[in-house]
Amino acid sequence: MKNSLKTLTVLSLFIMNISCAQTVMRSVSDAREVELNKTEFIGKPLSYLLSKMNVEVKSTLPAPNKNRNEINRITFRFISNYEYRKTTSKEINDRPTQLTVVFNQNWGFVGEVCRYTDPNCNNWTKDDEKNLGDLVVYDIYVLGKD
Amino acid sequence: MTRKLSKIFGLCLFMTILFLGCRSENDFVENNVTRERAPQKFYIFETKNNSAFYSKNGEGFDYANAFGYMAQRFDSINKTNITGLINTENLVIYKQSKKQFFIEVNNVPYIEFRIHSQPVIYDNQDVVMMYPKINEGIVIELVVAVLTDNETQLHFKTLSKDNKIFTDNISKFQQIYDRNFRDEFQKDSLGKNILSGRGGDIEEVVIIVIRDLGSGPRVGFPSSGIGQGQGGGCGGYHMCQPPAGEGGGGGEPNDPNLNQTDPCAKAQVPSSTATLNSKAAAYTNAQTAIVGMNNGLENGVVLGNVNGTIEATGVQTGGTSSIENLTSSFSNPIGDIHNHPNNNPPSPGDLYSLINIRNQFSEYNTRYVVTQDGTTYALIVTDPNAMNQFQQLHPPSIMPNSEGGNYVNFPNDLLQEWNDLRNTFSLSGALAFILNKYNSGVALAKMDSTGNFRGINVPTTQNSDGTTNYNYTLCPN
Repeated sequence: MKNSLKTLTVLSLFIMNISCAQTVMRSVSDAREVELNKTEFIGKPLSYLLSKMNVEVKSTLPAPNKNRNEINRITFRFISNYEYRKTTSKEINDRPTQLTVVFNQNWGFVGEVCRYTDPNCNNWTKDDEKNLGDLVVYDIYVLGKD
Repeated sequence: MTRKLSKIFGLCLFMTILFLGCRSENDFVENNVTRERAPQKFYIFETKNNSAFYSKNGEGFDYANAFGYMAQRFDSINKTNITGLINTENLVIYKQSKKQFFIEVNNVPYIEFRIHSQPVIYDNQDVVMMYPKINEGIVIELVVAVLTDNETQLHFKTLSKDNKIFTDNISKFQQIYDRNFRDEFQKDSLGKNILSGRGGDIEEVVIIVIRDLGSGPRVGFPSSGIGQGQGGGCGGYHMCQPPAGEGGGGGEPNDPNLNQTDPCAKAQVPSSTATLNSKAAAYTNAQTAIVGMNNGLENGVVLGNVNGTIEATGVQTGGTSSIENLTSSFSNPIGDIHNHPNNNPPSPGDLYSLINIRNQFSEYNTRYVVTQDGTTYALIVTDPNAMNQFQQLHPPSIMPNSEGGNYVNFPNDLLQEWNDLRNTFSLSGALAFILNKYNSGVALAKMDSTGNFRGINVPTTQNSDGTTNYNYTLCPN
């Protein structure tokens, strides 16, 4: 009986652990896990997703720009913009993994398109985290080979 | 209790082992199938499928035309440029009767498939045939098509210039070229060769006897002196199975030769029509009225052909970033004009709604977009079949618009590529590139300083560091 209780306790903890597991992106290849478990992040601020991304964001692609009132989506890349540029002759899903977060605003993409010549456009900084962190995630998708 | 838990645990373990076992077996079967697959013949050489390549004069199988078709098909599928007629800076024209592209304006070397040697057929049924590669009216290389291994391998190889076959035959090819083609070309203002009298087929051809071939090994062409070849088995040509409608079976729904051509060639005629229609008084008046609205919104009109005269509806007003459901009572609407209250070129939403309305009205081929700074673009339908296939393959993403209607955009993968190019290259260049890359059947044209609409073409080049250069060009008038 004592053994049974022990086993039951261990099994319960195991099941609880599975049901309450939080998606954490520890490597680029975990991006697909984030996409698969996107309901965990949808409806929550971007800052929550960022807190679960333990992979360095090395470049971004906002659309149409990083203005918090105009941004419709932002793509996080885990290689530099220059390294990414070396892969653009490939099909989009053969390029390095990129994770895109969509916000429920400006679906008409109104606003000036930011250009790569402006370093503030494709870099990802602490100021960006602060400025965009409270925007609510509407959708997440992942493109790329990993 | 313990027994029950043990049973559950045991069952889980059993299911896991079973699942892993199934996977291993599947992998094993798949690997065996791959290993045992024998080389397949090109379907084109099967009697029941090759009627298009039998000589009408009863001379048997037309290898010359078939090899030309296959070389272009290989280029088209593999994005190579063996022929200089596909994925090329040359301007080419498609001949349905030959199922091939032929030269129109010569910018880079190309193979002239209408000039060729006779087919040399060996005892083992290997076949070799030779074609000239031309640049600026000069035969610069000789390319051989080599069909071997029981009609399962086809390669295109360039003869070395010190090969005796090359030295013996190049002048013959040049003579034949001069006799048949030189007089057909004239120079344009940029000094490029333009084929004149394009309405008629240039007479075919020309047999050059390659005597030395007979002494070659039975396996085909003498191996010495042949440069590195391109080609391979039927898979690389997508010619293991006949396309639907050509002898039955599955295969490709569309001939890729028909899908891949110079974007400027595709846009040429519809661009001219867009230019012509924009000269109509109704167009000019409508554009003036639209620009004059100056209300920060999108405004538009529909253009219709009424007994040969272009007429326009009154101005209709949309939202800040879209205008949907432009309406008219024209029985034959031919297009529309609207403004963008910023400097953005036509959007993906403009594209998809043009596709929809083109499917309702067969002459609705042009959507003009006037931007705030006065630049005028035109989305023009170049191939309705390709257009519908594009929409099927890349259906739009749609979000409701609180102002009414919907926001329509590319699906995520195309949107990503489009947005990336907007960021790094050009707003209108991004759309033009996507339209052409994905064979949308729609081209983006821009009005030049003389009032002519010219297709936007975006050829690319690779830099030594692996990055890509996108070059924004306007097609010739």
